[in-house]
Amino acid sequence: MKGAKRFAASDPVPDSNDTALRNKRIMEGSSFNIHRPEPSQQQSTPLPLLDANRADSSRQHVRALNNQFASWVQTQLKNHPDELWEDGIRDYLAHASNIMEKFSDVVNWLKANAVKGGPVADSLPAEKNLMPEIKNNESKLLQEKTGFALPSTSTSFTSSWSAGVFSANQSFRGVSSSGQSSSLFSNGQSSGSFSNNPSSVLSSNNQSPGYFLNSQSPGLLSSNQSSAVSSNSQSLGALSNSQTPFSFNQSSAASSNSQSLGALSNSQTAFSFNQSSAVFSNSQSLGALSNSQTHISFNQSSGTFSNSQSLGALSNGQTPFLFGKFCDIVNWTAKGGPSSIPPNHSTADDADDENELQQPGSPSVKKSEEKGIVTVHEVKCKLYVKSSDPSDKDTWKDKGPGQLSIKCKEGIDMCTKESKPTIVVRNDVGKVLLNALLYPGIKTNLQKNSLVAIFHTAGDDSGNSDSVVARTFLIRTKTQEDRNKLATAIQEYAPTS
Amino acid sequence: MALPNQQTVDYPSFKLVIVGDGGTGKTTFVKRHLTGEFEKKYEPTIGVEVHPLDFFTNCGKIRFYCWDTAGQEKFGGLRDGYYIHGQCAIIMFDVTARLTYKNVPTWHRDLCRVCENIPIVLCGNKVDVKNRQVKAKQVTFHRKKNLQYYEISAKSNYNFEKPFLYLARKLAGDPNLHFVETPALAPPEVPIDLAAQAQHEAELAAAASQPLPDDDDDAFE
Repeated sequence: MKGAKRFAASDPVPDSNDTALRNKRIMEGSSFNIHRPEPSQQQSTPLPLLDANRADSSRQHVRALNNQFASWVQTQLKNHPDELWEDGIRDYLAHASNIMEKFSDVVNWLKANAVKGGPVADSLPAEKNLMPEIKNNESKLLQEKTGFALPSTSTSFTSSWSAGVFSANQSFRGVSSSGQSSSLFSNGQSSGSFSNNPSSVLSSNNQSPGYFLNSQSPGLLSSNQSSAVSSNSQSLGALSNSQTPFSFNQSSAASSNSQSLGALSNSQTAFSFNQSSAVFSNSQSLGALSNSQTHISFNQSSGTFSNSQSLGALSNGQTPFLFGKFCDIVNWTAKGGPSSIPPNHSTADDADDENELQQPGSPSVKKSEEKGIVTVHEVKCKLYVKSSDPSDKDTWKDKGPGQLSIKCKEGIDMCTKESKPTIVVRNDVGKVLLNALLYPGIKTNLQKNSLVAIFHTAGDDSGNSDSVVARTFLIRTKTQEDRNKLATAIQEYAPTS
Repeated sequence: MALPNQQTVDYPSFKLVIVGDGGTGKTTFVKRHLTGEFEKKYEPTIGVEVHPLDFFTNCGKIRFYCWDTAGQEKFGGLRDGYYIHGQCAIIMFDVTARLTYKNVPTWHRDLCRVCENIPIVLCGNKVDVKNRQVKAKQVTFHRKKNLQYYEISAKSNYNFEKPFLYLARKLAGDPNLHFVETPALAPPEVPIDLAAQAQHEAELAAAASQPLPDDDDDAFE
């Protein structure tokens, strides 16, 4: 039945020969993995034996080191958040090297096991396979469209190989929701999923030989009409992280190779492209705390080769590319990290980007609590003072924006002089722009969203703080409602006599 | 590092050098902090102007002697001679003029030749302007040179205290340093008689006839 999915019931413990044959069949059928040795070849050489006690001891050493390092990082983050921690990291790497030397036999076993696909992989139970039926004519159609040959019986499977004591390898079931002829191969710690209409192929191959490392290559393909992608991600070295996300559309082919060697290295390769594009990107980052990012975004039949390398401690290499019609596809956040790149970036989205909105700045001033003083009214305002110089072109001198507060003494009847009703305006650094008492019979003049009043402040223009000067101030609020509330508060809290 | 005619103070003071292309808003930014005013008209700085700026922090009072240098080449004066003994710096560019950002590396290079290893803040000014030319994501220079970057607006006061706060923290070696409210002295008490009241009313009436200052909504963002 065309398009129907049927589940192949696999034996709980499959015959190793059968698994090898099945793997071989897939290899022959797929054009992606022509360079990869076949499983039958991989298992030809005998592997060295591993001492279980040594392996356990090495695991304990590593765990102890990691616990120590993690707690040290927490302490550093708390006590020295804006310092570089290279000394501690060097120390960590030195200890890691010592452990690697001390347990070289375990490390060698892991490496050999990773390269040759040892018994660990074979001993794992096979997953249940999801096998969509493929008709011959559909297979031909796929071959015509993409140039990739497909086996007559397409198998989707996930198997974890090169799993060792320190490598975190997890298998996720490959999910395929497809109308016709789809094939998904996923190896290592990789989850691949796609929803596709006619004929798509996704192959994700992940090898992780090395020392307590974690490598993830999730391949996500949301595509229409004959797309193919091959992702190969390798990461060798302590605490390395390699990620290769993909998102593209309409008859595209991509080959991505991302390698990160060295302690705490991070390599990211992100692609977003549209309509008949081909790209080969190779990103390598070698050295402690190195960061290499290659972001490629382009449109309509373009091809590029990008190679980004960053070697050395604390090096940062970034290579952004832009092709095609859209100018603002690659998004860099303020701190330099890449934000997600949409596959189809419309010009409508750019409109928002044109006028970037100001984010409100976080307050840098700590408010001081005054005992026995209560704030009865608060509003954000902009303050102006009337110029005493008649020759001044501008009548109103700008004193800047600030926070206006009306304060009174606590527990004393308002509308009395004893309550000392005070109007204070402070700016964002806590500087006093206005500090005056409300007085009996104070008059306010309301204009637009502004209020004009006369206040007596200490100090004249010459800087003499002993003298008291009556100045006319204009207080502008955001809305007329704010202005009215302020005017009411001034009249309400001003002493009557 | 004060000028000879400026009195020294008994609390920590630092020489702050402010550099950048002409018209990026260096003088306006300093004036905004100094008097609170926002200077609309552009008068190029000739040589250098030094202004003391005091801030109250939880660690005590701190003073920056702001050396507001000329951005325009023809008014340069001593140029990098002003940078000598600089203890911190602000490099300013205008987000509405691409060329001012392109010249940032030159300012940084000249500054670092004279003042090695001082805390520097890169400031993108005029972010209140709607059609900005240099987008936030295009500003990458600070990452290469390990500088702190802030988007600021001397007009709307957006982030206007951030550069000083960062520099104060670096100079004090205290990441938890923050500004505190300036102590407000008891305001003067003035007896109001009928004559004074009448005078106030006359002044208010005169003020009412004056045109209002330009309405800028961005002050409240």
